[in-house]
Amino acid sequence: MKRTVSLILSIMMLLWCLPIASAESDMYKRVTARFTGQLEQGVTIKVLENATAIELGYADELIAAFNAAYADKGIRAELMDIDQYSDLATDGPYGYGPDVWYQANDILMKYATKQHLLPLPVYGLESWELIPENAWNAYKMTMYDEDFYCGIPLNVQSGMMFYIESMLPDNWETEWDINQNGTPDFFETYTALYALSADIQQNGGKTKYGYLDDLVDVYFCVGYMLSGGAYVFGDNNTDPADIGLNKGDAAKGANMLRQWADLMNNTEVLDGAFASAAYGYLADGTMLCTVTTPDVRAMFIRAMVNTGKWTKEEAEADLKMINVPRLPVSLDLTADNWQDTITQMDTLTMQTKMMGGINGYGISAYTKCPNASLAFIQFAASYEQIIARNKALGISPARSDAAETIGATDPNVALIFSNLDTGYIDVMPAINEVAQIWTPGQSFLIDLCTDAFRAERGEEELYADLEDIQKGLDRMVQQILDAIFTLS
Amino acid sequence: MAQARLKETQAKENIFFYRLMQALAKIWKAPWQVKASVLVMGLGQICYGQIIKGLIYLACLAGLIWYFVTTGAADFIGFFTLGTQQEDLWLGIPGDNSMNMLILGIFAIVIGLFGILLWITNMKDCLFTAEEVKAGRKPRSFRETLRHMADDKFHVTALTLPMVGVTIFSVLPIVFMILIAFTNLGGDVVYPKLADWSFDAWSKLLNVDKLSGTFGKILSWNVLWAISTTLINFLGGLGLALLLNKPNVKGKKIWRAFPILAYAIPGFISMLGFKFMFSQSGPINSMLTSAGHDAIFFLTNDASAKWWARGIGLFVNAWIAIPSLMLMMTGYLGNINTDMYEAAELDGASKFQQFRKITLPFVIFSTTPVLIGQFVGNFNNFGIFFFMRSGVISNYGDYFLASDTDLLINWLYNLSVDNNYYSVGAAISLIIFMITSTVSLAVYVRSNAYKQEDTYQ
Amino acid sequence: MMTIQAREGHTAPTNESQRSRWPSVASAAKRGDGRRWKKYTLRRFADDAFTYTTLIIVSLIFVFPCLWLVLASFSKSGSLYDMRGFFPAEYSAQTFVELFTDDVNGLYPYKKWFMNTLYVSSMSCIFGTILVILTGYVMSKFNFKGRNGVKKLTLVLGMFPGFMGMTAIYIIMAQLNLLNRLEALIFLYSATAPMGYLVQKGYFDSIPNNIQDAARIDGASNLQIFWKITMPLSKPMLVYTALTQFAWPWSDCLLPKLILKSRDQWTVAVGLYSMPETHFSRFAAGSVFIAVPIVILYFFLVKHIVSGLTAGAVKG
Repeated sequence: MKRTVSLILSIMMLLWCLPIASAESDMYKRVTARFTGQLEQGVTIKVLENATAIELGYADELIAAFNAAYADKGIRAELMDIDQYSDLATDGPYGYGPDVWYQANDILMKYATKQHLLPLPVYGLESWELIPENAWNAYKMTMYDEDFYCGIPLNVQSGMMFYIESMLPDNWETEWDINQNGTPDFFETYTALYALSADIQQNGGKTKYGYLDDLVDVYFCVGYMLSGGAYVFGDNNTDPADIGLNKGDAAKGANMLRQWADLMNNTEVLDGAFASAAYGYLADGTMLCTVTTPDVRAMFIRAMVNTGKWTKEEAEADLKMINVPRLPVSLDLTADNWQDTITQMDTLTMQTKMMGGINGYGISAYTKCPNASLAFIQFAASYEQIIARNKALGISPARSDAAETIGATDPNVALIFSNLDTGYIDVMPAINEVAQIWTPGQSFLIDLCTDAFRAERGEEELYADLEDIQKGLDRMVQQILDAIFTLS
Repeated sequence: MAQARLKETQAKENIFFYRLMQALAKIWKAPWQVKASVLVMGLGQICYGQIIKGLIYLACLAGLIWYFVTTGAADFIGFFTLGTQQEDLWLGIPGDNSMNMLILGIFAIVIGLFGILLWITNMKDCLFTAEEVKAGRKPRSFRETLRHMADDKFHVTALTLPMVGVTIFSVLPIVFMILIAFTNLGGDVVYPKLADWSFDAWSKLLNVDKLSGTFGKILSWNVLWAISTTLINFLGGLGLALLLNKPNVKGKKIWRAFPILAYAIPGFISMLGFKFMFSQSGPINSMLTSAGHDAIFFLTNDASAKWWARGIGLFVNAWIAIPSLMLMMTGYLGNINTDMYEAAELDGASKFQQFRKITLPFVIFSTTPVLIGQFVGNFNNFGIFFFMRSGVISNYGDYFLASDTDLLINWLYNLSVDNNYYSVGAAISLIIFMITSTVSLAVYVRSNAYKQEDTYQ
Repeated sequence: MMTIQAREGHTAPTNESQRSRWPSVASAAKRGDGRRWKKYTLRRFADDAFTYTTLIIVSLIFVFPCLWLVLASFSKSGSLYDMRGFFPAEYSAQTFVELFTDDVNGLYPYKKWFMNTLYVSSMSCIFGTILVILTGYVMSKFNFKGRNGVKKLTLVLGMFPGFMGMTAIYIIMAQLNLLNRLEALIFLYSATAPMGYLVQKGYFDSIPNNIQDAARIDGASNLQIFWKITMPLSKPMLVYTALTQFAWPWSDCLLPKLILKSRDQWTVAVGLYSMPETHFSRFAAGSVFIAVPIVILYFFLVKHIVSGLTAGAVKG
């Protein structure tokens, strides 16, 4: 809707040379008044990038490129060397916060709702048209009864399946590709992946495990519930009083996690630290595949190079990142014959919904140079820089033109982009209360997934059937509500 | 008893009133220079020819006036209002920051009190000079004043700097914290929103079941933790000291080096190291699994980790604290008069009897204050579970924003630092303060060490 | 101020009795030497066996984690998860070299952290020691109005859970324009040091008053008595105080984390705390490097530590 309006507006502007702001509300004009377009002279923009981008050197490249491009305009940027999870609410008022901050949308929006980030004059930006609405919504918030956008989406974060091609079972082309499409069947449906993992764990193989993953990370695991029809917050993720994580077939979705936990039978997957162990485990052959976000691709590469078995170039070629497999419609990993899920893929399986995040840039409300900061963001979000960021970090862009270019050679980027556009990536809510879902959620997942060990310890299983799981989900939702409303 | 105390305070009040009247009368009768000093700090001194001292007093007065005119008076008012104009960061409307106003208000009050104190000393000083002059002596020169401060008033001079430092960096923050408990700061009410004075936090603590329930559970574990760590560390330290004190131990220095090593390593390194060691993918679990045993949930999220994690907490705390106690005990044991053992041996007392009748009473007697310190320190032992289990949330359902190993102080941290519930956190810390101070005072007053000091003074 | 464990060990309040334990701590071992067994009996053998077994076990418990950390710091691959079992698969001193040469694009500038820590610790050590010693001395040797009030007040203040004041300290530092400055830490550590004056007071209590009185009769001023008479007698206490004042900033993590923003300004403790598991051997190497100086200090000064820890103890 907004996009059409602004499209029409820009045509109008072209035709009659009217300022674009003419149809923008008074409030919008007032809050974006400081974005005059006049670059502040002689300022240095303090940029806070994320640790991975710094560690892998991209952040320095970006700053250097910006400073070269703006050398004659009297502004320059520099990296801030404070922690990437700076607390803008305490640092900002005293002048120690960044001007420009790259973070995930939930973190940025936590500060935006308290006005610590500025609303941006998005309608005039080049990327307004190029970024899908779902991504913009990650930065949308309501203030003075009106919608504002407090960040510019850069890249889409969502779970992707990582594996090393040379570690695939030797027989995959004969045994595990019955539809002959060149993609191993076990990366096409979770039912097949479950069957393969069970096979590897029983009969051995090149790797010790098939699929191994952190089963207590709400961000990744909630996808199973979302695919079953659950949702995070009602009213398009804006109503904190309506929590839908126990709605629909959420219990069936959660039960699949239990099935995985039973199969994996590994206590490490119950620890959040698994995420950082995963790089090494994939490289050393502990597991065949795992799900994580695209921006850590380089960490896998480094772990592979560290083993001494790959050179950097070999590792780049050997490490694959693909879309997560499809989930069975039955929401049960063992109900169907895995071969059937391949041959009758359309009827027996559905595309998996994943929770996703949109990383992007916001501008601090305490900045002395809003216009220069905006210039920096526009530079960093430009087509060239997005391509460069993808090369360095493997991110999936939120810009359609960049996604198209990269997508031409890397089908996954195109896939992520279309998942975002079609809603299979459920973007983290932009409201403050989202901060309260992680802990109760994790607590439930832990409880659910440790059931596998309760039997071994001779204790009673707590989540033996779907009814128990539903009760567990209800409890979790109640805890989230408690956390949100008890002290407010 | 109570009546006696009442009488005492009444007497004290009377004395105070009496003294005040006396002082006023003195000033009334004093020469005009003193009265000048009452009006303008330092004026009297200048009139007596003590130019430098007078100028210093005058400068202080000027500084005080300048401070109160520029910011102090506004800060003082801000202390009561906690802000009147809310800031709008988007529209660029400037406004007040309640938390800053609270602390600046306290600061203004402290400066005000300091000013009054200075004013009183100024009058006293002038009165003193007036009496000197009356007695026919010359007013002190500046050099004499300096000498006087380094000698007769040495304690005042020496304590000034420590007092100022402690006031700003210890007292002020604590007063701030106490006052926060009586505002509605926290949760939604954080900058740029304005706060107000209220009893909100206390009524929430009493009325919200989740809070009071969690408080009870954490408190009982906290008490258990404080008692058991104190006992373990005390017995461990004593045992180790006794062991190393045994006559048949050769190479005492070498044996003692190992605990000292543990003592010297910065605490947070030990804690983080143990966290890695017991982590789910850490060495202990990987040894267990490669030996065919199931991995154990030591510190992880699982509900079964509750007692493992608590046990590991006790162990790590002992590992860190026992060496220092051992050194201390070694020192104490060296203080015991050896004649007593020889006498006991002659009387045919066994080793164990000697330990029970001589060593233990003596050690307990001399370490009571240390034990109290240990108890309070352990009760508020923030580091252990912060470093070893932060981010871990076993048995979350039973607790509100806490984990089953968290002590009150960790819960406090979760509430006030991680979740911005400042006023509730402050209220809880006041309760913690009441508990620890009551317990330690009760123990201390009963202890021999206190009684002995009483008899000494 | 902070009630974290690391500090707690050093500032155990001591008893305030004034019996003389001056001038030196009797060696605990002396007593034992007088009572040797005459013959090597079975009982003595059992005793020896028990004693040494326990000693070995205890020593292992204490030394093993340290050894583990030291060996891990020499691990060739960085991550904790590359070690199967307790020990690294391959050893190399690479991590130590990297610790100082490769700061991972400014993420882990260990050299800078180390110098910061050294600066903060030594400065706080100097100022903190002066303030504590002064406070302890005055509180021990002077009887002035309000002394008891001060004593009680410090006791009460010590009971407050310290870090609740952290929000206030943050704001105060912001008002003083000291955020993100190492000097803020020096101020804080030195200024709050006098709160732990009881140990020093206990020590001065044990110096007999008649030394002072004699000097007083000879016409020495209080300043002279403090400086020329008491200080030379207080070497063990000075050393102990300086050591604890040095060790606290050296290993404190919370306050620097609160006040220091830029990675460049961090102290080692904050830096190590921020390191993820994937940089485990870097963490281990950093820990070893920061622990070694303090361990050496402790070993050299162990005698003074004992006398400090037992300052003001009762003689039996």
